[in-house]
Amino acid sequence: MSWKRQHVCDDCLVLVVWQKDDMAETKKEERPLPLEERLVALLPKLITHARMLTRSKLTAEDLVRSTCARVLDRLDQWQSTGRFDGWVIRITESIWFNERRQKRQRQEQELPDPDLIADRGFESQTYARLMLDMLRACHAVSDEDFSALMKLKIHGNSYRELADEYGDSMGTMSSRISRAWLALQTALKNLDRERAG
Amino acid sequence: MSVQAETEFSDELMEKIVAYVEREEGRDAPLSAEDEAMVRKLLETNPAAQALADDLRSTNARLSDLFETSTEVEVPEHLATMIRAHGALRTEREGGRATGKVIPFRAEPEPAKRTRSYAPLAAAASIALVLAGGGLLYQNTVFDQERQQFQAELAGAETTLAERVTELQQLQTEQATQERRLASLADENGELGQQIAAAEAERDQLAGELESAQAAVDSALASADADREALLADVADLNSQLTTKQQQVGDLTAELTSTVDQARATTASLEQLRDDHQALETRVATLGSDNRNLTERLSATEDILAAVEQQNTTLVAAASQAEDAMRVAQAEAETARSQFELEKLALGEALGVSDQELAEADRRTTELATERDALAGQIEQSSERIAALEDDLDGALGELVSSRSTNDQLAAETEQLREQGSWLNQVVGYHRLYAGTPREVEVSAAEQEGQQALTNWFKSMLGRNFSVPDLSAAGLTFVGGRVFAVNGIPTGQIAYHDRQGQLTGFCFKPGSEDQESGPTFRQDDDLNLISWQKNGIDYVLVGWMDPAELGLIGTQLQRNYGEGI
Repeated sequence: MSWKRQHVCDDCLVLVVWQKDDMAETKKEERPLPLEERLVALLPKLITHARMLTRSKLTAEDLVRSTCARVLDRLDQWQSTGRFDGWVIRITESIWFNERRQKRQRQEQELPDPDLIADRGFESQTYARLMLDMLRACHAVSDEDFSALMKLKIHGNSYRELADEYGDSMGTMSSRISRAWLALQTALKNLDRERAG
Repeated sequence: MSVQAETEFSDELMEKIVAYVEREEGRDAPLSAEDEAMVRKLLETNPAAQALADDLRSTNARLSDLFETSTEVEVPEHLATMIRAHGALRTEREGGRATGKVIPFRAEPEPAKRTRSYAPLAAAASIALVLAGGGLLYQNTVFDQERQQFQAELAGAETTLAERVTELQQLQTEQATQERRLASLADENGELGQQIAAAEAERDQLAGELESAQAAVDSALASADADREALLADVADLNSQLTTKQQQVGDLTAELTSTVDQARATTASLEQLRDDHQALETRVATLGSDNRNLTERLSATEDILAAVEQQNTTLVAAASQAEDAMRVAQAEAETARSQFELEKLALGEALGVSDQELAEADRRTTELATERDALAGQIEQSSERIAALEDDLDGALGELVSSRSTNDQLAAETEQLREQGSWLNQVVGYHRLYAGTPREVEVSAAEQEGQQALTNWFKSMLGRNFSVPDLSAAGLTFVGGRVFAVNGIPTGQIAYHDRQGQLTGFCFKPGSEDQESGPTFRQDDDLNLISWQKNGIDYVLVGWMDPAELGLIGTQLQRNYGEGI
């Protein structure tokens, strides 16, 4: 008689199912998912967030690598309060905002990377242009406001969670998101006007 | 969207419109119910607000598209592998078993160590120094300028050298530290390797012991399993037997209870039948006695009546005679009086009538008057007596009529009882005659549609429908039936066999209208009979079976058997 281990992964829990060879008995134990596994699971959203921040594929990859290094380095500091993905995003943004400050000091231009729009064989050039305009418009939103907006859209945070994370009231968070939306709209309108000549 | 729309709404209102659109997306943007209603109404009525909301929805959709297109990301496999390797390492460390493999996670390829070799530079500097010195020695004057130049260069080089030497020393220090650390780690690695080897040896030993123990345990378990299986089989077998026995006990108990109940019911029924029979006999005796009394009384009344009539005739004749005598006496008295008066007058006139003769005549007159009154009183008494006798006669006649009616009824009942007794005797006779013979039944139940043929026969001969009751629950098996005549009256019989195969007959014939009686139990030697009357039908159940059982069946038939209609 021997026990065979099975793995069922959840967002933050791993369900270990032990089975006998003859499948007659099972026992289960729940353990929290290792933080490394949670980080691996977060990578797609983390890369998307990084691309939205950097508007460049390559820069986003570097940013994600740096984030992972720092996160792994500081895993002991994670206290299991709040959301793990929120903690990782904050590290990402911290690294990026520092880098961007240095780039601006070096007066490096920041243009959106067309590679960000995945090559899906769009029939419409207009659609690709719209996406690029959107990327550029994102740049018009302040860092904190855009970060909050991305957490809403990409990571599925609620207003309540964001308010708790930022230490804002619900009204303040609502104002922040409203500002972000309206800034996006204004930037898009300006781009449209530019094209119209 | 026009700029006017933007300036048309305050920041607060625009924020509420944004919150409204956010809530449409399913997010928990704060918006009170009142504000939500207000915005909804605004969007219905204000084109600028509608345009703003549409722009927001469009922007939201574009942003969602952007995120979707950008989420087609390929996660670098090496990144995931490195992260997992870090996790494995951390797990091992936390488990207290560090491995020799330390895989540090690095975001970038490890930069090449800047292990520059400063020897050529130092040599060059030295050579430069030597050359510079030699040149200066030999060409002090000529190369003064060059010396100054070289000095300047030398100063620069020295400065650079000093910096480089300092850097070299730092690197060497760092290298030494790293080497010491490496040595320490190597020692630690060695110790750990020894520990691992020892642990592995111990593990192998324990594994061997475990295998042996496991084999022993497996063997013991197999043996125990076999014993357990055998015991379980025994237990199952015993349980099965126990269940069977319990079932049997249950069945027997139920049967016993049922039998006791049946016996009690049969005994009660039998007692009831006996009481009814006794009551009937008493009634018959009482009726007989009453009949005799009434007959005697009738005779006595008739004698009295005859005597009264005779007496009446005599009295009437005497009264008539008395009246005649009285009339004659009255006539004589009148004649005598008249004659006396005439004689008296004559005598008086003759003056020769004696006082004694006159007195005698008065006395005679008085005597005749008294005799006359006596006769009148006698006549009156005779009349009163006649009237009384006439009343007695009327009463006696009325009693006679009533007695005759009761007598007729008793006679009818007696006759009926006599007839019934005669029918039952006849039924008993037929039962004994046919039982056990090949002609026990005329129509057999084994015949095709035998039961239907029998009921049709009953209908045609008795004029009514008689169904065949199912008495199988009482142990009676239907075998057939017949119709036979008793005193010219057809009697139907449904035949059964009891558990001993003996004939039990259920017989019936049309009886007196609306008569209801019974059930009545009687015995004829070894045969037992239960009889009753219901809805103008006489019934009897006859057989050799236990009287209590027969009585029970008869009672049930008496209560439940069809109306014969």
